[in-house]
Amino acid sequence: LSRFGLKENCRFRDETSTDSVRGFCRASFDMMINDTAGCRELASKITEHTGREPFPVPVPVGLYDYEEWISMVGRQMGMQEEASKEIRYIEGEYARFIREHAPRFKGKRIIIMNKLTHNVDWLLDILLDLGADIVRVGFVPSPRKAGCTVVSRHFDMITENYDTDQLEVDLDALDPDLLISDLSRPVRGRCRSARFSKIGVGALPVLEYAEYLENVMRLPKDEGWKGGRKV
Amino acid sequence: MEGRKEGMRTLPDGFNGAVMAVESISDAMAFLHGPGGCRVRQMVHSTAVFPREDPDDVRGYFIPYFNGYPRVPATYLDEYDYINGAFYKVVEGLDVVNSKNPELVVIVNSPGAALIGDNHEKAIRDMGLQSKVMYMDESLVSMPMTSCYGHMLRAVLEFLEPSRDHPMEGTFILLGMTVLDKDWRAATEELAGLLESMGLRFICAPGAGASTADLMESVNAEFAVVVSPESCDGLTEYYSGYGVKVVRSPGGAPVGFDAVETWLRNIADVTGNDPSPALDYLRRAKDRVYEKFVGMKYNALRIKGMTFSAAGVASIVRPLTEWLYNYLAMAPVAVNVDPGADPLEVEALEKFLQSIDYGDSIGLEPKNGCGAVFCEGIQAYTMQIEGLCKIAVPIGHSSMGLDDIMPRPVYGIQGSLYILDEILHGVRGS
Repeated sequence: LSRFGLKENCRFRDETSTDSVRGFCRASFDMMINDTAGCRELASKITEHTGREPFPVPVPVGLYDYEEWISMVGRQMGMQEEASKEIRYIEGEYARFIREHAPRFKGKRIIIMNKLTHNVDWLLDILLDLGADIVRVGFVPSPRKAGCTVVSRHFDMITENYDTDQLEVDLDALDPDLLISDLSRPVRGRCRSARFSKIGVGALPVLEYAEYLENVMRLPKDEGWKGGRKV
Repeated sequence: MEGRKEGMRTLPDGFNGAVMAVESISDAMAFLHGPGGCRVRQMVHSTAVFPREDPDDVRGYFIPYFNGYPRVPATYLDEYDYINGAFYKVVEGLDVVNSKNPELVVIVNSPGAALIGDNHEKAIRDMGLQSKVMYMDESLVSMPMTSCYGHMLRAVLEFLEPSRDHPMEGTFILLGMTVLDKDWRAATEELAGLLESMGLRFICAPGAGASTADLMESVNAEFAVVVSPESCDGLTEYYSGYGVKVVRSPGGAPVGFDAVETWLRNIADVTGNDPSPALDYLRRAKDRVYEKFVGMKYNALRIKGMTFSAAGVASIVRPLTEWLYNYLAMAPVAVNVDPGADPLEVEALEKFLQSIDYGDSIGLEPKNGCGAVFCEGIQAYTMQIEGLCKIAVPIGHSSMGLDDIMPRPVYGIQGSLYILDEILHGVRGS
């Protein structure tokens, strides 16, 4: 953001000092870190208090959200050319990555099992660009988040109210190469499994995560230590 | 990741290896013919990894050629000596060194001293010390440390001329251990102990604390069990020549649970002894690890898929890479071997990496930005301090482990636990 002359006023609530919280309302923009119910609720409280509407696009994860976000920041600041330059650079990096890494993803059958509250469009985007075959995107409801709705541009790919029983069926019926999940799911050697991790924001951390998935697909289905037994 | 240039590891060379091979013999002494600057590293290194004198003993070493430091006395060549020769210093120095009553003295030329060409053979003869003083006239500088270590030990054995006059059935020696290996004494004790639990009897480990008497006895062993083939260059052939049966594991050095098991089973196959007691120790260690991992579920998850770099002696790097891949599902993104690598180990390593689609990782030095780095300590810790890797695990020859009170060698069951400890501590809170 610094290239657009913007400075972080307060990072609420990540490494925040009381001083920066005191100056909370001095900012020109309020940017949501993600488009979740919790974050939207917090933003609405700020709007109530200050009359300021949040920045229309949350801080992006993945190329496409990043492009949209950076274009909007460019427009807001009257620096469209700067935004276009950044987009061209990121697109180049992204294209090079896809070229180099697609061979190991092409045709790989992948199940994604995730909490409803997490937007995983960034993951679906890059896996599709890498040529993976996403055979299921299962969103697991959380009893604590009743009333949440799925927000995704890949809505048609998503299975709502997904659970471990359905996963069991899918593991046999869909024969996936990889399960990506936010929790450790027992796959009993039927496929490789990867975990979601905190990947950060922007376009490039997604590439690092894709490299992690690429590594997992080359590693053993189960770690050798699991062959041990209780003392 | 920006910062440190990849491929800057600090490795000992053949000169260092040859001096340390002599210093590995508990009652021998390397006598360096060279300037003081060449002595410092050797004397400090020898004292650090194999201290033999008590603190009060130092008082007896404030004499010429020792200058207050008991290990690796030297002739302290100066510019005058380089022009006019320093034969007189070798003669005078031998007398001083001999006053400390070592069983064996080996004169080693520093790289520069080799150019002077002083006649050591004459000096030894003039002093009447032919029975206990030998010299190494070759220049081993910049050659691989491991092969020169073995080369020097073989030269010592040839000088000692041991006799296989009472072959002892069911006995073994350990070959390919060095005093430069991290916590070498603990590793030697554990490996020897495992084999003794199988009913074999340990004689000594040439190169790792054996005395001259042990070396004389070593040719009477029935088996010479190889730990790391690189460090017994020429030695295996030497012992074979005496009729000692050399046992080398197809799994490389006993690094990681899998290679330890292969190492034990192979020895059992060759010797005909029952490996069960040793395998039972191993199984119990693996079960304890299983219990830990089950208990700390999330840390175990953090390890899976983590990238690692490994660089070092080929017979160590090969089983380590295989084990980290199979046991922990870690991704080998950069794997390299030190100079003097055993060709069979290199071939097996390349074959393995290609078989798991990591062929591109071969020949790459520790990579900036990877999760864990396994190599000699200086490089590993520097990368960790600079934030270029998350976990640093010293496995190489600069890894003296001086501040480890609990043994943390690279070899054996203890070695496997050491490696796992370092990884688990490194993923805390990640």
